[in-house]
Amino acid sequence: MDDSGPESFDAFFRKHLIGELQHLVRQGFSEACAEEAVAESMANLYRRWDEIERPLAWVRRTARCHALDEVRSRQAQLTGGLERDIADLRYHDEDPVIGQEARARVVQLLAGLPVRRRTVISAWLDGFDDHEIAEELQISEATVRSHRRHGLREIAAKLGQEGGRP
Amino acid sequence: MTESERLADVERVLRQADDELARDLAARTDVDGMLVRVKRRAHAAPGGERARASGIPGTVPAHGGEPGASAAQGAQEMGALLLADESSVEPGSPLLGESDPHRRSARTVPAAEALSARVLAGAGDLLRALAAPMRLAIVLELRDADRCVHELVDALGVAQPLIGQHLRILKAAGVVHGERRGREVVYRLADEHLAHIVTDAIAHLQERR
Repeated sequence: MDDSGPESFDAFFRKHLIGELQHLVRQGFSEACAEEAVAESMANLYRRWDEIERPLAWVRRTARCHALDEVRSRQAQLTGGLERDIADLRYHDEDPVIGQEARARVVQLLAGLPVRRRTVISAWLDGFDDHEIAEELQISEATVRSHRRHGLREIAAKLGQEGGRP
Repeated sequence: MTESERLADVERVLRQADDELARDLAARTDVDGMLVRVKRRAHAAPGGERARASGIPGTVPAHGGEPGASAAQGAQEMGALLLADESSVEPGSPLLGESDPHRRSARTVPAAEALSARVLAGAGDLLRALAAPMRLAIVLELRDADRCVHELVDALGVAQPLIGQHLRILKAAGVVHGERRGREVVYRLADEHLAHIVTDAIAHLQERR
């Protein structure tokens, strides 16, 4: 992903807003949480636009931190033991519509994967190549490929259970 | 089917679902409105003015525009956010829009065979969105007055995340509109019709008793 070149903040914002929201939602954050986190990051970026060299990487990193903070602070507010166990990352209740429809399909498919596999697949869907992912996560490219293969197999099994697909 | 064919298949499914998510997000997000809010937030934050004293380059001329932003600079941080955001609330939410075309009495609705499959599917979606006790309770709450999430949490006595999920379903189906005011979103019913659907269902049950 090209992260360089002089660009106005407005152009950057328009170009990357949806992608950054998508990135967080795909990781399992709620849309409201993702929006708040990306807004916070973008506001900080706007203030420091001249000094931040790789804005895309910067927003990605800080927005994720904001999202995690938000989830943590919300969890801290919850008092009941049961409610504390239900992380914001995976709300659920008895309502089948919530289970099936409130989450985007891609989020359902990625849910339940081990964090590394999900991170690798998510970055791969974002268009990063194996080399970039390996560098970002400080692992070898072979490990990246292995995480992806295992992740895809797991999703294949999930699809198989739903019926219809092998 | 070989392993690699199988995984290629999974990739196709996954990418399709991911594109769908991007489309949904793009349809639901008011990019320009958010750009304005983000800039106001940057100005309202401590040090915001110092960093960007020169003003707002290439500002988007969206609903309400700049007066809010300059007012925000003077005020205290929280107050400023409230001020700025209130002035940027659009009157008709772009999410769902027109409710007036639906205003007709039951008698003017043509027989089922005359309706397109699409209209019937839409009605089905609407009823499905209403089909949970918690969401019915939310609609009944909103009949009396517009409410923000924490008021609904208090009134209904359930956890905020749960209310949020239900509201999202109602919002997606066009039952409620949300307007951001400062750090809160105020929800209102999209039109009177929707309250009627729910109260009629309840009246119907009570009659039969």
